[in-house]
Amino acid sequence: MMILHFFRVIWACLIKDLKSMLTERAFLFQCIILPINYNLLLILFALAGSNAPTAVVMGDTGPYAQQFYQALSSAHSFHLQQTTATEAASLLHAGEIVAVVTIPADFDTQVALDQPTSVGLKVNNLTTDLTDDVRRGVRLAVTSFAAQVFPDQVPIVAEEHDQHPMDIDYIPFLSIAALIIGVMVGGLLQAGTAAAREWEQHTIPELLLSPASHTAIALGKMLAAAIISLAASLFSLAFVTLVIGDWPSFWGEVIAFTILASCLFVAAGTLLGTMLRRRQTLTILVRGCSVPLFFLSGIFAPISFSTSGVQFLARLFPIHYLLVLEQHAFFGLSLNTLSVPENLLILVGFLALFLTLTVLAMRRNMMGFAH
Amino acid sequence: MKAFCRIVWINAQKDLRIWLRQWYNIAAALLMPLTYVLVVWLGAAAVGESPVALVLEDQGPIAQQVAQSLQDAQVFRLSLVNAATAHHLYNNLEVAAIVTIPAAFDEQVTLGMRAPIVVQANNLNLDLTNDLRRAVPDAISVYYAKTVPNPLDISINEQNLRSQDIDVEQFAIIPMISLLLLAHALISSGIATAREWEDQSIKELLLSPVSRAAIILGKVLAGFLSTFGLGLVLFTLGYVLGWTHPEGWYLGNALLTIALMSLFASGLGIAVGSALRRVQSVTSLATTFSVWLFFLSGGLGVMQFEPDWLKHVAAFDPLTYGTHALQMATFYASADQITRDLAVLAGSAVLMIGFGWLTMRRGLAR
Repeated sequence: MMILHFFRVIWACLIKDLKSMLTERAFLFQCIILPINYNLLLILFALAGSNAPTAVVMGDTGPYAQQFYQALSSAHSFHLQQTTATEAASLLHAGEIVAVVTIPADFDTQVALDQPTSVGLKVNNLTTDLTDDVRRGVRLAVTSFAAQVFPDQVPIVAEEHDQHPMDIDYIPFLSIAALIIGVMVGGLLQAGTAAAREWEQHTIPELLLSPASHTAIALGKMLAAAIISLAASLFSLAFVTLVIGDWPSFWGEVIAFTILASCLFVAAGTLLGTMLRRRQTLTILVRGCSVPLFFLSGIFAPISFSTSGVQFLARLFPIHYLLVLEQHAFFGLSLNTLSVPENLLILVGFLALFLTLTVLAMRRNMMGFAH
Repeated sequence: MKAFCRIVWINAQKDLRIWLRQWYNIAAALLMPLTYVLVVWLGAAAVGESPVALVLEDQGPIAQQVAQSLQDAQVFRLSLVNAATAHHLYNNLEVAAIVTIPAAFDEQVTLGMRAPIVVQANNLNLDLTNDLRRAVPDAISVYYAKTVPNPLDISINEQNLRSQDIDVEQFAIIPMISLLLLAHALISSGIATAREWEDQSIKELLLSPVSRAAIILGKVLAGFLSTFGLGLVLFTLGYVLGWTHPEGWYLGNALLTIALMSLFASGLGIAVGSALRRVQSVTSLATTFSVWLFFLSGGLGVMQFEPDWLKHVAAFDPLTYGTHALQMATFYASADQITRDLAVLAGSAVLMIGFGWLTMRRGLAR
């Protein structure tokens, strides 16, 4: 009988919260599309570091000049287009391109005669970082060109051995992080809002002073938020697999880790909402902190490549472990030295911690009302 | 006219007082852009120098010079270790790659035989691997550039368009200021408007014997004053810290740009607030809106480096013009395309205030 009552409370709280959520459709819609939103933002971020749009003025079209052009295009630094000198100057001044490389008219002759020659480089030197990239790219093209044309004079070459059979493109790699950030923000916002709403609308005393179990109330609220959060995750998962093209290596892991992530952030959101008691503050806090937290957690590379301070901070939050697990589920990668069960265990520990703290916070609030 | 202006001012004062009283809203509105400042610095560090182990199996002078060139390339955080330690670091994910200069390297180079530098790469993603693919050949270039006679008979004749380069972190300060202004204005004006509906004080406003135009303009003025004030504080702070240093009449350009951006964002905030009429939805949408406008204006990068399609999209984002005008005035003492930038900002501000006006009038009429 007691158990039946317990489940009835959970069910009633779940239905009540789902109904409340459905009244705020604009907010609900935003929470559902949020993961895709983050994915698009990360794509924009990835594009920010892409190759420099550069014009090449081919003063000479001989075989050496063509070979030098090929060396430029293989430098992993440029997005090239061939133009006339006038077009290049106008594109550079309009901010359409970053640099102009000019291959002189006597390039082939000078190279064939083993005589010195000079390649022109005009750079829109807005920032040191990007200007250095362009300089490095042209320098690299000169060396690789010389190594091809005069292998006996330039015998030093790089010989690469890759650990993985293929490189994962940057956007598919980052999309996994976007999937998690979406689950995180959606879960925190839905659950946090549901908890804070009770305070804002002064319905919390009725809930806490009712004879229902606090655990059942908390679970009911969390389940409602988890349903919405999982719906958002499904959208995001479809986007990542069908649009970005990230096909998971282990489907079972993807589903299990996504459900775990959803539960984890819903529990954390309920705790945050109970503590902050204001939806507006909660929304801004969650939206404001989520992206930096992700950047801290190793979305670009293993956190062990970062400084010790960043590593320390990353290990304090569950996001890092979730990233590791999802990258394993999608690509079979290991981004930290812990095994999959060890990462999983840490996350379950976080979940237990958030659940316990939420129930404790509710009890503390109830005692406050009682006094 | 005097009475009209008084009502505008009273309405603005009311909104400003509420804004000042809710300090947590100000803090929360500032939190998000400030965290993006953190993102820029962390992002730069994260995608910057990767840790790499260097194993020097040949102690000859050429091997030493190439190793020094790898250090000088400043693309890696290099640790000079033996092969066993390198593999230990690699297996523990403490380095992204092992670069080995093999034994007999000097001899091969001297004889003109192929002398490979072996790179064992943890090619987790293309960005990380491309960094390695660029950096090792670049170190080879640096080495050859130092050798006499230089076997590379091709020199690079570089000309820069501007008198100075700006550090990428410093360059990113301006988009951050733009984001701060936008996020703050959207949130404060949006909430100030939506709250009138949520608290049902809109009825009192509507039934009062004052012009609706004065009510709307009062809200625009409050949003503008608070945002412009914030912009001035940020800009002064940047000036004192040496991050932003516009000189002469370029300071005027910068201030005018901040004013127009504040006006545009306040108008947009009122439009969003009166369309949604719920504080919660406004807060959430305002954050999304400002982040989108920030990213689409090339916020985390440099617009010139973005792909063409993104440049076309950015052309419709007023923040692109505000950020460009501020960067030109602040870093390059330049008024490059200032007329275009200010005209777009002024036009967008008028458009947004008009849009806010219409949405709020429609709301009031209901």
